[in-house]
Amino acid sequence: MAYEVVNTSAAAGVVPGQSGYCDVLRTQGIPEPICSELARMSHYDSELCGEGESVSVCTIRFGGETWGVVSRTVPCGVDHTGRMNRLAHHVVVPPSELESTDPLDVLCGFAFRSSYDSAPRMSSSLPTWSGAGHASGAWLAAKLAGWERHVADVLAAGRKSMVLLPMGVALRAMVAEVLTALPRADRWRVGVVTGLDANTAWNQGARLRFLVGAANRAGAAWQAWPGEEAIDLRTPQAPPPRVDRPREKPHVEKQRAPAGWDGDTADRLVSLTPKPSGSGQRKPGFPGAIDVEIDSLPPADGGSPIDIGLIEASPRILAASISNRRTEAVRWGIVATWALMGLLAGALVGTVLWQVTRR
Amino acid sequence: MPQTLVPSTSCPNCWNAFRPTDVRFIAEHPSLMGDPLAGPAEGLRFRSSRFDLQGNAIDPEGKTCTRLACPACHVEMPRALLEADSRFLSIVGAPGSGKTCLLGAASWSLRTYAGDYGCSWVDVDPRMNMLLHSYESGLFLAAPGGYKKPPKTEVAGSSLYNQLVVGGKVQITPKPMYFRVGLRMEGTTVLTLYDNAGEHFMPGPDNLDPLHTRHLGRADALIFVFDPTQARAAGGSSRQELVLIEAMARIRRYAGTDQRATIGTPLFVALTKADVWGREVGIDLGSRPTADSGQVGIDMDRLRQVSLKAAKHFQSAAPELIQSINAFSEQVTWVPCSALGGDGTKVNPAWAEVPFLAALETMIRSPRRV
Repeated sequence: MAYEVVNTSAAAGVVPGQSGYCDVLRTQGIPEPICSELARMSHYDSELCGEGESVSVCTIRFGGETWGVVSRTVPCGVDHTGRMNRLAHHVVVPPSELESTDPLDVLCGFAFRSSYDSAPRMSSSLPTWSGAGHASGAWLAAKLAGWERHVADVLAAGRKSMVLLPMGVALRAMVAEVLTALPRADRWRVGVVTGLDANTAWNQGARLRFLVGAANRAGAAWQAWPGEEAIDLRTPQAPPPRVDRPREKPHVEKQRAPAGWDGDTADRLVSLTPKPSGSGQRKPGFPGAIDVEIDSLPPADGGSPIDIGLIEASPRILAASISNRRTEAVRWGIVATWALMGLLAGALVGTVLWQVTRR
Repeated sequence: MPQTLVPSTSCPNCWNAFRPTDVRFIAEHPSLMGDPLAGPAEGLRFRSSRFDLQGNAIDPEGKTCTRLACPACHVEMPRALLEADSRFLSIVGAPGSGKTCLLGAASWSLRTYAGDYGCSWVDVDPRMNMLLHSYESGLFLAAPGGYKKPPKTEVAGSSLYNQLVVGGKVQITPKPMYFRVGLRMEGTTVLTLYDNAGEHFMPGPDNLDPLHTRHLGRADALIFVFDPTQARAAGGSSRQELVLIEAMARIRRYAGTDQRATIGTPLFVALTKADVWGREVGIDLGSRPTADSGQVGIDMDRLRQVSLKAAKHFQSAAPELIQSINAFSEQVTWVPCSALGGDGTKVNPAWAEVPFLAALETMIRSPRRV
């Protein structure tokens, strides 16, 4: 069964003693750690959403399994302290229903709340949604027809993308159209967020992020990260011609190694196997980048091994880290010395034996 | 490298202690963009073996590098932490108690009036305090009649928090704010401030083992922001003394304090909105408590008198708070202040900077915590 959670700023939440940003509605039985994760995902930055709604379709890991989350966050007036408030409404799909549930149905057919005026409560009723009618023509209405196909192609090619949209667009409908263009099996996997900077989006496992704002908006959040394709549609333009790209393996779950690890330690303990030449995917803005596969990572902080599929590593990064590995050099020096001594001892013993047998 | 490096320092984000010689430099050359821990948009963190005559590292592509990062978490940190004595100050309070407003007002007041106290107050690196600058601008540099209060502090988001991936899970730490305080007598100290969302201090399952409030265990002093107008207010606002109790419990846990002992961290209770309730109690905040003594020129005697008066008032107005504080700490100073004051059209803070200066004076006088 699916769950729903509403997170907003209120005088009291469903957990006794909570106030401020907290959960005011939860479906009974939802695991507590998932609520903590959702609270973190409820962040809203009005400047990156064009003061409008923010939606996301992504997955989270809990209990060794993947759960689906479809969220919508909207500004909702002022809270009990008189300050600007926002309301995040999440629908959580458990692993057992992930395959049978189309995130598109949830995104388009679920009645997301825009305000919450009741008392905080644990709900016993399950969230439901209708599965009818997805096509909306929102990209056409925004004079950006054809771009949804291009964005879907970028995703299908396993690349990351940042799409900048003009103010006043129907964001949820546009996200839905992009998802429609993807095979159903990929819709949970791609990870789509809106109104998030690259750091937060990537940490959330998203490969596509939408930002909404005026054409002159700039700043760190509005810049594409290396490895991210920027598609700026804030001024209408014709979509590029479609190119049939070979389908590639879905890419990168986590971009970073766990904290507490520096590059040197990670390099020593992690087996890096460069892919055969040509199989690595080059990233724009990340010169010389190749894909390397991590065979295994040791547990961080005593936790379970981290599931990192592919990371990018530049030969220059490796070279720089190698140049700093003095301890490594000393270790190899000791090994070489022992090997040399072994050879000398062997030669000595051989010579003695030869002399003895000769006599 | 300058010759005045401290023997060891701690990362203000992950609290890894390290020697200055182990610090990582941040590569400046565009071809060295991308770091395994800091992310693909950050310059490579590396340990340099080549330096220029000024002591700056030279990256593998020959560019001079001046920015530093922690060797463990690779988050950027100011060079000043390796060169000067540093103090950590945590700001604690319930959601909506006015922590961020107070911080913005205090910072602006200190930028403007630090000279009256005989000390100086400047950003160590303005780039790292940009959020605070926006609070200050909204409050003090807005058009007449339209000042803008800082927005409610979010519980996540990369503008307020650094994101670290620990054990495959994203953990956040508040982005510290750094100030260089020129003292009256003894050179300079670096003050590192932390401002969390009030929700992070609430007792509850979300905050069982949070990285985002680890600074409590390392803080040299604590400012607890208490809004007396919200105490016992109708409408079910959060119980502010519970936040303090939770903060103290975390300090015990993180700092390893004996359960039988009181907390050694000096506590400053900033009693906000004193422009509303102060006159009834007979507290006058008309003039600044300046003095020609001490390291930051604050009149601690006058402050002590005001503190006693305020404590006496809240003994009857908020006994639950007094009782909780007495149970935890012996070094308590009650500081009435007002972050906004004024008549609603213009911000006119009163004593907003005093809790910070009093904390700094006490921290400098006290022996460093280990």
